[in-house]
Amino acid sequence: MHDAILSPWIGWMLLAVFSVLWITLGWYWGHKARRSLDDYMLAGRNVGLALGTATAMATWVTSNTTMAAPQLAYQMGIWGMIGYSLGSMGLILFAPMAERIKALIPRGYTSGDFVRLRYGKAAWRVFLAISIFYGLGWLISMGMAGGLLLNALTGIRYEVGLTVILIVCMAYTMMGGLYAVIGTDFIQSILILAGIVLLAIIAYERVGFEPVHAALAAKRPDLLNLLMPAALMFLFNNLIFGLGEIFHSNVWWSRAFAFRKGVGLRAYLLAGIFWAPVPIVAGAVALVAPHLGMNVPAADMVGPLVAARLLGAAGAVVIFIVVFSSLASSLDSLLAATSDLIVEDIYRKHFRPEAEESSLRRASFLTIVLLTVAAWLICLPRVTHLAGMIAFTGAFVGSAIWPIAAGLYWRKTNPLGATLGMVAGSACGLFAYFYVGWYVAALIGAAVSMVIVLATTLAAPRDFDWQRLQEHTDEEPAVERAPAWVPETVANA
Amino acid sequence: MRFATAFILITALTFPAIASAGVLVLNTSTERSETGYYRLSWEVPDRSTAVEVEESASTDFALDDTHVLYNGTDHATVISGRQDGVYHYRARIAGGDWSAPITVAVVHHSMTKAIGFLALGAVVFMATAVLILGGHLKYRREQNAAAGEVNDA
Repeated sequence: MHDAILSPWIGWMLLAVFSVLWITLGWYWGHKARRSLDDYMLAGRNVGLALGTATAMATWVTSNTTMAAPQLAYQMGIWGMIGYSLGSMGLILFAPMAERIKALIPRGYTSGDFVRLRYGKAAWRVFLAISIFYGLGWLISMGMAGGLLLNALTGIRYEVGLTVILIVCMAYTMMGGLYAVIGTDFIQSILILAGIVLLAIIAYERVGFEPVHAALAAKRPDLLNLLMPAALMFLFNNLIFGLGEIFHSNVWWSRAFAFRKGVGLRAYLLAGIFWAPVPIVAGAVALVAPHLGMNVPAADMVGPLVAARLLGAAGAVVIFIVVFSSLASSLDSLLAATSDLIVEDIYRKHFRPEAEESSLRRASFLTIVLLTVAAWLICLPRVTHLAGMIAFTGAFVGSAIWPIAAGLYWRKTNPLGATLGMVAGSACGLFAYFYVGWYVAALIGAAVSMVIVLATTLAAPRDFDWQRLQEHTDEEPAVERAPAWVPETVANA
Repeated sequence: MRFATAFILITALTFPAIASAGVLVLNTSTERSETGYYRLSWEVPDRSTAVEVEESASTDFALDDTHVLYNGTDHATVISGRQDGVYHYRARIAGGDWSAPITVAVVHHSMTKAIGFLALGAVVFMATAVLILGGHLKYRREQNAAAGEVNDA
């Protein structure tokens, strides 16, 4: 479909080098995770500020950021990339919530734990459906991004690239649990930041701002229009979507549990501040395309194509490393956190309350494999573009914002209102997705949910005792028990 | 289930048409764009076949209103940043016959609607921020008060 910049053998070599690196690190950190389930799922609950900031930032710099931000800049212009950048508000507003979560549920495992204890089983099941659906959607979008990237840069077939990337991330996540995820995130965040900044500086140094502006004004004038209606509608939608993604997802809750006491607030705040410029820098690269007179056959490939065109093989290698790193840093987090949610909230809480750690760990492995296979099967027919795929989940996650936030801070939040808010918010958000546009789905979902939570709480407030969230305090924490198959010398080390 | 249905629908709607007898079939992702962006695609029997795509402001592709939008071997092109208007397209394999023309009308959402969604977004965001920051300050005050009581004791 498009001539590749790199030869397939360079692509395979890069893929091999980074695959071996991530898997080796996963194996190495996996040693630390062998002592207990707590180590495996929550990195021993002892992550400090530097690693905490890096993992939050790297996870939020997804392949969506590095590929969909340029796409949105190419489709919606200036507001497209600024709107994407407002996704940083999710991390910034989650910072105080992380502190609250750690204080209220110090021994918690998943975001599902909170919803179940706070609102009861009906809300919990609705929440699980939303959260798992979102997790799968995010996985799919990243799998698609991986396949597209390899295809555009190296000519390796979409299906092959997709398969390799999913298998590599699955392998090291299974080996090392959250230790491996956080450790690799640290390295990946450095690669991502350095690569993106390098690309943008070189790109604009070569072409300059004025020619880029002139080409946009002549060929795609509305990309410079600050009153472009769809872009204005998109602006807050993306911010709200970011809030919904972070507030509800176990990816972020598991980190709040894993961070050392006092780290969560500062780590998320710093991560939000560091993340904000990334989509603007990545998006700016896409706006060079009209000046170069290049054809863009698929909007979600504009970033890699421009970088490769401007910088040749070296640029293609840099973008390969950046996107592969961002992809891996998010895929691993998502696989780990979604599998935790499924194992803890569905397998353990619904079917096997007395399950031993060894059994839970086997269930974790199996869940990671099944999630990978499910994502792979859905990714294979490439049926929609990245931004549209991601936005589809916006209706669902937007509807979870108020039930989560009001449940964390207000004692009187009505549980039925929280459940109805999620259901009605998702339904209305979906309606908006199909009848107005993908760029308003999260906003409508959140607005409807907010009104319902507020109205029901004002009309029928319920008192809640925060102590009811301390489910794990009095019992012997499972984390201290090493599974039977762990050698005693390792368990006691 | 809705998700799967949506995928099936999207697949059916976007599956590219196949050229027959040397004449291209040009497709568009939408005939009415409210965002100013859309995608044109075409299918050629051979990957290396060069294709020429023209854009025109008039239905008869009069010379003054027409320009070459794309010339190359790709199978699609994304158009974006278009202002309100009606745009006509046709394509051909080099030296071949022109495809049947297609038309895309760009009709941006009204400013009233855009400002309405912008305002709604601002309200939801501000309300959420107030909830969280207010809750956080209250939590901090309670923590400080509890710490003070411990110190006094």
